[in-house]
Amino acid sequence: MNALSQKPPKTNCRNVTMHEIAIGIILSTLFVSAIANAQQPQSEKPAAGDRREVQQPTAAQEKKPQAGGSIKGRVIGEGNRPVADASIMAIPTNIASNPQSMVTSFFRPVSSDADGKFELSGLQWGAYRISASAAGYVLSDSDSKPYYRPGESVTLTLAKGGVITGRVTNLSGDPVVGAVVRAIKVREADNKPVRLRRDLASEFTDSIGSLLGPYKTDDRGIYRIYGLEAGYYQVAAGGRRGQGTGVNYSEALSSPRSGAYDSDAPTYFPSSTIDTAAEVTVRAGDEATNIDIRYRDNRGHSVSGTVSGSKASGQDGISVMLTRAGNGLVEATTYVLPPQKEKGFAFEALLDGEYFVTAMAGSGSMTDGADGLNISVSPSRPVTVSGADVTGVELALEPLASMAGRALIEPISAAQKAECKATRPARLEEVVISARGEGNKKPEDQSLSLLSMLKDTSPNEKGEFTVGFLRPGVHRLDLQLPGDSLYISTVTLPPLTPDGKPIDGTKSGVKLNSGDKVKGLVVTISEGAAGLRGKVVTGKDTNPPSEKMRVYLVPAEPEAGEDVLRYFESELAADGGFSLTSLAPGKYWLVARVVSDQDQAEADHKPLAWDAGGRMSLRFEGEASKKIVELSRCQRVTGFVVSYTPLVRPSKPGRKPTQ
Amino acid sequence: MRSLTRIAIFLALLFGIQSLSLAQDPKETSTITGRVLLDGKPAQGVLVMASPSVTDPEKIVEQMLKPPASLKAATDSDGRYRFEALPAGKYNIMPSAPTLVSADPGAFAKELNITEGAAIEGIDFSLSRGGVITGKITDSEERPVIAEAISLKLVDGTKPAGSYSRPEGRMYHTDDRGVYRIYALAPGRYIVSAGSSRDPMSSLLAKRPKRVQTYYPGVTDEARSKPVEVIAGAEASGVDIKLGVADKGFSVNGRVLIAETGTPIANAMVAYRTRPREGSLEQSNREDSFSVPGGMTTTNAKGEFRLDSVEPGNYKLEVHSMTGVGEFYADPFNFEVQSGNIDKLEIKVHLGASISGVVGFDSADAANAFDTSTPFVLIAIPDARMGSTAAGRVAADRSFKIGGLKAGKIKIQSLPHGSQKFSVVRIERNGVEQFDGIDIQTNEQITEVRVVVVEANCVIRGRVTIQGGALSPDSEVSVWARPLNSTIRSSHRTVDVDAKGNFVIEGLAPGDYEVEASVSSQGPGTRRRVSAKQQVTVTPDTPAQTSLILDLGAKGSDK
Repeated sequence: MNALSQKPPKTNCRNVTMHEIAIGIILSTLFVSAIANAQQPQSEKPAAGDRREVQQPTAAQEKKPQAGGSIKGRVIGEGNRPVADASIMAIPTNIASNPQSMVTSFFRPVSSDADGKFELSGLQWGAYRISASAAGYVLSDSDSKPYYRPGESVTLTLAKGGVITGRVTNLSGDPVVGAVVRAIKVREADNKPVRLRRDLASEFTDSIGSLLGPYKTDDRGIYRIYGLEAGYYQVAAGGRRGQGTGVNYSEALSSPRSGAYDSDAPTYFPSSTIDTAAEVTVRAGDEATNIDIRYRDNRGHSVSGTVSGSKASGQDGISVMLTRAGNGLVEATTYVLPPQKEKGFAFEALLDGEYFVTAMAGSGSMTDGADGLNISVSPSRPVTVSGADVTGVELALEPLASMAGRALIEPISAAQKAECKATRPARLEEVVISARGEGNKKPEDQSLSLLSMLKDTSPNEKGEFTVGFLRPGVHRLDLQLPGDSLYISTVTLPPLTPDGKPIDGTKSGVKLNSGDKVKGLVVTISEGAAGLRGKVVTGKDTNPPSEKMRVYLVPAEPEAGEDVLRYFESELAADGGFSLTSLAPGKYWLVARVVSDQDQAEADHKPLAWDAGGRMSLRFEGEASKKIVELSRCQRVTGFVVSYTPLVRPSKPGRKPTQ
Repeated sequence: MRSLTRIAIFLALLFGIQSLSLAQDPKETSTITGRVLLDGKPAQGVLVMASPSVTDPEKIVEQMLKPPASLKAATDSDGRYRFEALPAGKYNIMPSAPTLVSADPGAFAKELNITEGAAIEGIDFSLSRGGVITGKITDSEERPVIAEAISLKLVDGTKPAGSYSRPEGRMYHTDDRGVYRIYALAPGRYIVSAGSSRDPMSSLLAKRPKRVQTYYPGVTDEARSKPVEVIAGAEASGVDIKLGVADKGFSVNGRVLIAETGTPIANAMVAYRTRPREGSLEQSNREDSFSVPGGMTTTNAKGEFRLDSVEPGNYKLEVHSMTGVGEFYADPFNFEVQSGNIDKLEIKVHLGASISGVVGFDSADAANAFDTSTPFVLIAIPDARMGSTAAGRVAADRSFKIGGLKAGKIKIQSLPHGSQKFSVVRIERNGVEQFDGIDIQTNEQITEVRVVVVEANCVIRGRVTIQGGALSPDSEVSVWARPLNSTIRSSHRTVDVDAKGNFVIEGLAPGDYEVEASVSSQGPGTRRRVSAKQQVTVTPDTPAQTSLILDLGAKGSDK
């Protein structure tokens, strides 16, 4: 054997980030056969190895799957043409209560047929995020719901992705060969800040694409990045400690060598640093050509510091993320490895700019769900790099908190049921529960986006749920109910004294400190929800309002004024239409308001009724409007027309002054 | 070795990363000089890189997560390069010349062990220009096939020469126009094909149907393919392949059930493996004949599974419990796909024997140090080579159960690389120590087993001294510790030796060990190995100190 050629790979691995780690955790629980060889590195080196298999142990959960049903769907492309061979992934929300379902969905391959049709069969009861992926295409998420349940059908749209292509040359005009080139989205096509990908499923399919490897310049210096979503991009060449998405396990695991440009600071198109980088516009399915980069041999500067507050055993690996201030894009990730008592970290080759640094530590196994994976996160520290190295950045890890409890569906009497039309029976496992922080999202939190994705959960068949991975602060449960026959009647916290009354968990949310594990939440869901559909027209004519508006249902019974769960709100569609579902029966005022926070995505919108001031102003306005509607059990009101007349009072909704 | 690395990172991610050796204190620096020739003439402006190198599996993980910066030196007009001020350590030296190939077959990077203050000369590289193959992959309707993997097989010419680029990024995949461009190829004749991934991992994850391998210029029979000639510095273009319409392989379905009762097994992982393609550039050097993962799925509630897009060939099917915990074992199962779908395979598994009990401690300190919230995994290792290892996780009440065992003698140890640093020292059954492992009969359910563990917090420090000659720069010294007094066969621990000859072996249970150092060096056609051993006793309070002398002058064993 030739000793030189038989060396094990001296691997380097670029940009392992949060979700790659998550994927790694998941994969690591799955690659039973790969780990079959785990014995060898340790015990077999001196002696010739006998081959044995080690099964990767994880949670010994003996959960018999309950038959649910199937979700059927279709994948279409431009001109509603069917897309064949798209990979379909269904990610369940009940990862925490049933990690096996995640594994199953990940490895049971489903792809669309020649008509674009697919069927995800044998799904357990639950709520699923469904995504489709095909190399070079992007999934449009405008036309699909966030969650689907067995028995429902889904249409997914894949559109041809955009392309950025160009040539990288050095200062003397020669091609730069084998340099990593990255396209970093800095704004969405609608000019708004970059939105988080909708869900884990998209993250996974993105990462699968990245398994093919990073985009690199070829022997002529030419690169071609494809499958891009429409939007505004910066393009950077060189630098290994680059961008969040796009680690490549296969390369990291097999490649013994690092590239010549990997330890440089990146050069941004056209030949600059981040601040003066030119933006490249990518239109849906279009090609941005001649995005040529003149490569500079930038050294950059380093940012270093220490991490404290990890578990006493010091055995958990810590990742440290550096994000750009302002837009929260992950610029670099590094790791603190346990034995280093001082837990130091350093980012090399950074360009001048404003950054945030955040540390995160994890231990345990994802297959144990929210309880099994212990994650700590540090508050983000601002850092400015300006022509010199930055040292002494101190990060203190704090364990994340969780909320656990039980959900139940309150049965209604047979007589009450008879009032209602037969609807599809809904199950507890189909309820999606997540927690939303009170505070506004800060850009630097974007690096922790995975946590917010893992937060969504569903109860198990007994109704038990745990919402984990919550940062300190005030959180509220956010429930998405299956179908429109259910409404939430109460959310309570356990009483403070044994004989006390349960506490309303909705009025002011649940305050969580670092490491808190709040238990005993009770979510009561009732059958017989009402629905209200209608349209808002402006006073003078019957045109829909031109301004962005929301409609609010405000409880009209005096005793219900402080019941947050009796307030409902919805955005108006372009034609002024609205649809409010899962409503508790009762009397309501109907209020329409112009809203100012247009930049906020609907998913990030904080209900006005969450704070007392908001409730008060809504009640005041409702009382004045005298638009009252009474909804009885199971009633579906349609064609309700609201004419909007601006009040003399300022119409800006009273946003919470703090945070 | 590749799988080793992969496992290392998986384990690291799953169980947390274990302690890494801290022996590093390089002060004095060294120099390396050499010359780079292109087609026999001095090559100017070629970057030569020196990348720190490690072999310790734990350090490989460290390096994956924190790639060390490489040092660069450019060649002058005479093709000469020089690294100044290199800290002592192990390095891979190689030119970074992505379009060039090595004229020296087999030699990729040169790995050097640089001692303090050394001045190493003559690390030369001989390069020649590589060639390019480029073309377009389309489907039967002339549409581009995106992200399709391209495979190359060298049919003649010189032995595959090391290229000085890695498979660059997506070089072996088509882009959104179906276009691929592979450069830095050694001159020779290549068979070009498309249709299956080079990398098992990505084919496993990208769940689209795999197509049957189609060879240039568009045939599925390799014997009828037309090799493409690659000439140094030239481009072979228009190497287009049109994939067939129905080339999507076949489906294989079946059921996993318990042999004795016929009960279906739900949520079992079903995976199939195949042999590496012969002669392919990506062929692995592993001897395991079924080493390439083909695909994976899970069984539904009725125990049924379906594997799609299976190419014709011979396969081995494996069934595991999804949790990885020993629950059953499967009979060996091979199948062949010829020219049609395979229906209704019946994969029989057996619940087998089991061992259950609790984890115990000899001291209150150890019991206190044991953190029940951190995963701790026991593995049952059969004595017979046939048996497969099964695992069981220790519950919060410290109980465990390992099932799916075959009859035979079973030893129990803790999972290496776990985040709980505890080692098994003793196994008791009904209060009686099982010196030699536990004898287990077919389907026997053994309970009341006590697995006594101690904190593996001991350290051996030592130094390897070289006598009777100088080490050649490419030689590698390795050191490991083997427990002597334990009847439980626990792991060897292998570590790296630093430039000064120092080493640290951590995470050992107290006890007696044999420490062995060895060095391998390469002669013409032979591999010579010199080793030295020493016995040490380690306790938690005092690190054991050892000193090993490797006498290069002594007659070593030729291998």
